[in-house]
Amino acid sequence: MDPLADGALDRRRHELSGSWTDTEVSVRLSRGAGGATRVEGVLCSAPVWTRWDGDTLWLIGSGASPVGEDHIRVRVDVGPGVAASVRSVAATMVYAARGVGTRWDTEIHVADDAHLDWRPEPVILTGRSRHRATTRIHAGTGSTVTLDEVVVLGRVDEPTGALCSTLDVRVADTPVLLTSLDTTLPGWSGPAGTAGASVVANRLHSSPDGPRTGQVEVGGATLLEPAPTCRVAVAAAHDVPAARHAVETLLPSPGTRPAVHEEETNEQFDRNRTPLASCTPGGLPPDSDDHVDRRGEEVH
Amino acid sequence: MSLAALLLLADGRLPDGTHAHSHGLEHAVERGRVHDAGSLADYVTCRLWTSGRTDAAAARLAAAGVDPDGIDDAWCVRTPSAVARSTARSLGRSLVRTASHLVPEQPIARSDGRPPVQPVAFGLLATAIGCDPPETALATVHGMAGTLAAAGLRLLSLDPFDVTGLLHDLRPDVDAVAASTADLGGFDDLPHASTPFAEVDLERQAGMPNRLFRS
Amino acid sequence: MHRHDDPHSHHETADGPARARGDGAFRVGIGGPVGTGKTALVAALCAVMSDDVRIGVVTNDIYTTEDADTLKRRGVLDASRIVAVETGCCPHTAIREDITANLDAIEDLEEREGPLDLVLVESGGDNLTLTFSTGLVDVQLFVLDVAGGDKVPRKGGPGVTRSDLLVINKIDIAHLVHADLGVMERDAAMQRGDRPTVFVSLNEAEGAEPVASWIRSQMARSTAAATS
Ligand SMILES: Nc1nc2c(ncn2[C@@H]2O[C@H](COP(=O)(O)OP(=O)(O)OP(=O)(O)O)[C@@H](O)[C@H]2O)c(=O)[nH]1
Ligand SMILES: [Mg+2]
Repeated sequence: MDPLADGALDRRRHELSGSWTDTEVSVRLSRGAGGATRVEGVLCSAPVWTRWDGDTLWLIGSGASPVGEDHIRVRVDVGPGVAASVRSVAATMVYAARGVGTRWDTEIHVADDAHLDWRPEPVILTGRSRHRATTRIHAGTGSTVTLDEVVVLGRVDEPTGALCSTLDVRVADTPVLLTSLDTTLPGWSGPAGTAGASVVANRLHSSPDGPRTGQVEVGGATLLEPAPTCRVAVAAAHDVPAARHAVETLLPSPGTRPAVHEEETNEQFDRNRTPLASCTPGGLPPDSDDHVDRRGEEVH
Repeated sequence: MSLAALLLLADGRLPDGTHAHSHGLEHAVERGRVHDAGSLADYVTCRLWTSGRTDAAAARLAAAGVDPDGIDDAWCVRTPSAVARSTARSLGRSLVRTASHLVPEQPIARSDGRPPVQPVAFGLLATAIGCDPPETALATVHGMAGTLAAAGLRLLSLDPFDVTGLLHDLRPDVDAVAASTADLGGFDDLPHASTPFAEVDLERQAGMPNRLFRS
Repeated sequence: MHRHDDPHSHHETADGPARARGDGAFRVGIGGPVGTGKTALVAALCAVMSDDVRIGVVTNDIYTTEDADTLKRRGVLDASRIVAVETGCCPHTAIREDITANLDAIEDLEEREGPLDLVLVESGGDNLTLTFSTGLVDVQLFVLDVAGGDKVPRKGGPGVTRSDLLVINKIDIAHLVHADLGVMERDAAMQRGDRPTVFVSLNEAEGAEPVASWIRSQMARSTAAATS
């Protein structure tokens, strides 16, 4: 039997540590001398580690967290002119809650003319989780941001835990979008909610030119336009690939960096291949993720 | 506070343009997700607790004298569907017209001259005719339940007694959603819950080739 | 041929004066059962009147924008002068109980294309009880056809009894459906008192002329009333 199923692990952790995790990771990406990307800040704080591989910041979770009343804060600042991707190496499991439940706050600052492509692995809500997530994005003038949120409502054959996840987007200090998913609301899994789907995905794309959009007709999904410079693809599906495919079809991910930055940054990234934030506990993160060509079609 | 004013405001016959709207329900029916009184009840329940609650909060704040432009802007930020925003703007315009007949001395408008979105216009009209903020919230939620139920009745040719039964069963939700808007400090506190299929329906209904409802 | 080429049209309606008119266009409601020729009438009126009258058209469709699209295809009027209102299953509600969507449409039309002299509002096809709110239109026409049978005027209903002009269309096929126009005329007169009735075939060129001249006389009266 899964030791987490009856809360054994969270009790044990609590006994051992005497308290739940309350931690903050804060990473600042900036353009250093010669245009190299500098990485500074609190790059590791259990249970979250980060690693920079030259153009991607990897988020690495460890241990069975979040659990109980863990509170994790992740802040990423992308400095002016920097182009960066953020990925995670594995899905985030949210385990059984205690007391006020678990909490994960992400704060993202994307400076003027900076570019961020934030597409982590899914968040999986196990049966007795009670999780609160907030993602706040402050995007500067001329910046582009792509951000995915993929939530799996319970493991196989398991009822979902509870999630309230809020997405708060401001561009040039003006609120553009404030929306949340709340699985505890009456009717959530009904015909206006998820209609029984076990995966919900959102993709946000904010860009001064107005994001490029893909196809508009995808079952169980739709493209929303909170503002002329911002689109959100929303999908409910029965598995993660289907949900991802839906948002990708509606709102193709940025395949390439904007041309102005491309030549110089690629060259600089090559010169700076040595990982700067290498406190990864294990091996290197997988070096392949979905590469997408200019037309926004996936190339495998 | 005036109970007669509340009843007037909550009457489905108030000429406010809502009879031509299903707020996406027509698409849910077309896709088969809503197919009977039970699934209609589930649909309405979810909408009451999400967009209905946001609307009720916005209307309540407007009735309480909070800056209407601020509420309007905050409501729009919480409404990612462009279709839902333009529907609300057009229904707001209808209420501006209604108000111009009922309370001409209290014109309703945003400071930029545009009509407010529907819940804000509704709150302003409510207070102008003598409803207090809690009543306004209640009338908002009641109105949404009634609009969706009436659309469901027509789309599915349901037994009207079943639909009335559904609304009867939803009384606790209507009361609870309205009551849940009691402790808002200002428009920054407006609720913002949304659900995937509600957004899908709002957007897709607009593109349906043979639709009966405007939204 | 039972055709009143010059229908006397000075009946003071029992329903009281039409809406208080501002500077806007004269508004004519065109109602009637499904398929009797409302859209054909709108098209024909545009054809015979639009040389000297600035016309806008609002259609009320149950399903989408069918009638507006038809009119646009026929090219009877600039497409921008034709707008569609969708009525959510209830054509009569949109022109009687809750006219807001139609008022919005007319306002938009006049603002965009104005000034206009005449706005024709076609209702969705409905039953014999269909009437327009006086808050929406100045006068209303009710269109029947002979194909529905010559008993229809006898059945009455507010559409037949209270409309300002009853138009009985498709007289070209009366013999095919064994409709006795004499019976229809007699019954209409009985139901309507001295409110006018015209018999037309909108299939014929100039078929709408009697209706057009009636509308012109109503517009002239209305202008006279507004300036006096
Ligand atoms: N024979 C004959 N057919 C006509 C005449 N006028 C119209 N029609 C035909 O009658 C049919 C219906 O005409 P419409 O103008 O679409 O009728 P409508 O009242 O607008 O119909 P709905 O809007 O659908 O209720 C069309 O096929 C017309 O061609 C006429 O004078 N004679
Ligand atoms: Mg027609």
